[in-house]
Amino acid sequence: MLMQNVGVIAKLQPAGDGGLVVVFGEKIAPGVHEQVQEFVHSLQKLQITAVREIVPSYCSVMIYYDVLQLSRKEMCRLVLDALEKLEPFLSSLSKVLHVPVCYDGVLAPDMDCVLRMTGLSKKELLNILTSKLHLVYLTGFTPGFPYMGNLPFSVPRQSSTRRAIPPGSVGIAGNQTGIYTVVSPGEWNIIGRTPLKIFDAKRANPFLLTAGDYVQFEIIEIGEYFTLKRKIENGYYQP
Amino acid sequence: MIVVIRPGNFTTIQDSGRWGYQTWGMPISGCLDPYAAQVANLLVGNKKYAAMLEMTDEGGVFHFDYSVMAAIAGADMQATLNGRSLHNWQSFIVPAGGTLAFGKAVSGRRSYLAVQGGIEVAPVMGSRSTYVAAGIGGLDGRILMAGDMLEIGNDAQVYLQTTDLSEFWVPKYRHAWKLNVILGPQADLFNAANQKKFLSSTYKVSSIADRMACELEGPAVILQGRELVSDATGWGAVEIPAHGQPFIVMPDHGTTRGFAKIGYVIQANLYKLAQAMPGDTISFVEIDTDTAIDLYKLQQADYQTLAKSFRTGQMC
Repeated sequence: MLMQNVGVIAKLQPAGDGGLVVVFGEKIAPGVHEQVQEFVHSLQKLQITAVREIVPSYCSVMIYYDVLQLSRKEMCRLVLDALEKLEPFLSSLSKVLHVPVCYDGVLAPDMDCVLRMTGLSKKELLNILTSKLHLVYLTGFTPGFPYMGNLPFSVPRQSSTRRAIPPGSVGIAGNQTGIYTVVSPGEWNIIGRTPLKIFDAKRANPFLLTAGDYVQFEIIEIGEYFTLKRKIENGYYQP
Repeated sequence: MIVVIRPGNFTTIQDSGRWGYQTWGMPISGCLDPYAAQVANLLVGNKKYAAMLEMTDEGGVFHFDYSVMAAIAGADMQATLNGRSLHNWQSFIVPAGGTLAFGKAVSGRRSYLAVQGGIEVAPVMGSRSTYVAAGIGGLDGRILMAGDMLEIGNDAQVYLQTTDLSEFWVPKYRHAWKLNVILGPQADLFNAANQKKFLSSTYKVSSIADRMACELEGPAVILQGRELVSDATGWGAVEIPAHGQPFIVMPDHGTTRGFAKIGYVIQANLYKLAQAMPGDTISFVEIDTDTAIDLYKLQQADYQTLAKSFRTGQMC
């Protein structure tokens, strides 16, 4: 979808002495996502050697750069340059990944809490999650963790941090869903688990998902979860 | 070959980090104390970021099959070579069959052992750094264990004339740390009273201070209003979770997170986060970006001065 007549209003903010954030908005929205992607593309085209990394997220783009090679002023000027040259950017590589999830029992420790907070029944919640494709706005946090937004409801994070959330855990925070990819701390409400390895360093392509892809969640029973998990571990299953 | 007799508390292989994959959520990892790590490599004539061992709180015991030049920088872990005391921040020759032993850290927290040529393991995504959470890099993506065998690589580059480091270049690790911070990018989400509280309070480093985050205990800083949309977060970011106790992002931390970043610790001060021990105090002092960049440039110029003096044999 081409965004027309959308004036780009970006804010430049400092992120320490080696970083710069370009902010395009404050809310998760497909239009903002497109601006972010367009800007990343535009900045990459400038091929600035002093730029160490460009890290996009929902509404902003972080630029880590080497201040020994490029002054802050010069970096800001190049950012404005890239902003002026924004062009519609369509990823032709978008794909849909089917993600089987078990939403029951010990694999869904915060399910009851989420149902209470939203007032939804479990059937209603699962219907919301599985009835449409979820756009992956970004991958971040831990290797390959897909951030998906725009749920029709919003729930607060857990007030305390869990120290070790198992990989495959499907979480909800605010109006986002995500899938934990390695054992990591976190505050998202865990409502299920997938046997898929969204990230696997031993695979030719370690990351199953990247920004611009779509996820289709599918409900599986706990028995299927363990069967699939075994198949994946033994290399008999290709997602 | 270096044989690990005792691994120590949390010893990993690290280099300058795995840059270039944060877009996919891959943290940079790498040596937590860039100053000590770079000086250790200089002391043995290695390329700037050859891989080395990073030890935490308590070092290990290592047996060397053959003779190699080595150096220790960072925390003082009471190192001995074949039973005789060694000094940090200078290079020495380990004889064939020698045993290098470390004890508990008595000053600072992280110590670096560089050997001439660097530690050789297969790079993963361009780096030899260990990232334990995902099980990649270093030796099988994990902390070292007794019985591990380490190969020495080819990352040496200069013939050294001298490896004396004068006291001037040796940082003093104390227990009260002042960290310069640049406010932002989300400091404006905190009202004046909370910003002031953050800048005027003294925090204690909690017992949860690892390669992912340095958690602090002290007066809570309260965010007014909305929950944040996740965005990128880099090394040194001071993040404020709902309970208000700040924590500082370290190189194994997630690349994006949904917390407000009240400020960033400046690059020239990052080494302090590697050396602050649980129980040490931290206070934040605001600084502007241009001054921070100047301090970083000065620090980098120091490496050049040292590198040059080692090459030419002229003491500095």
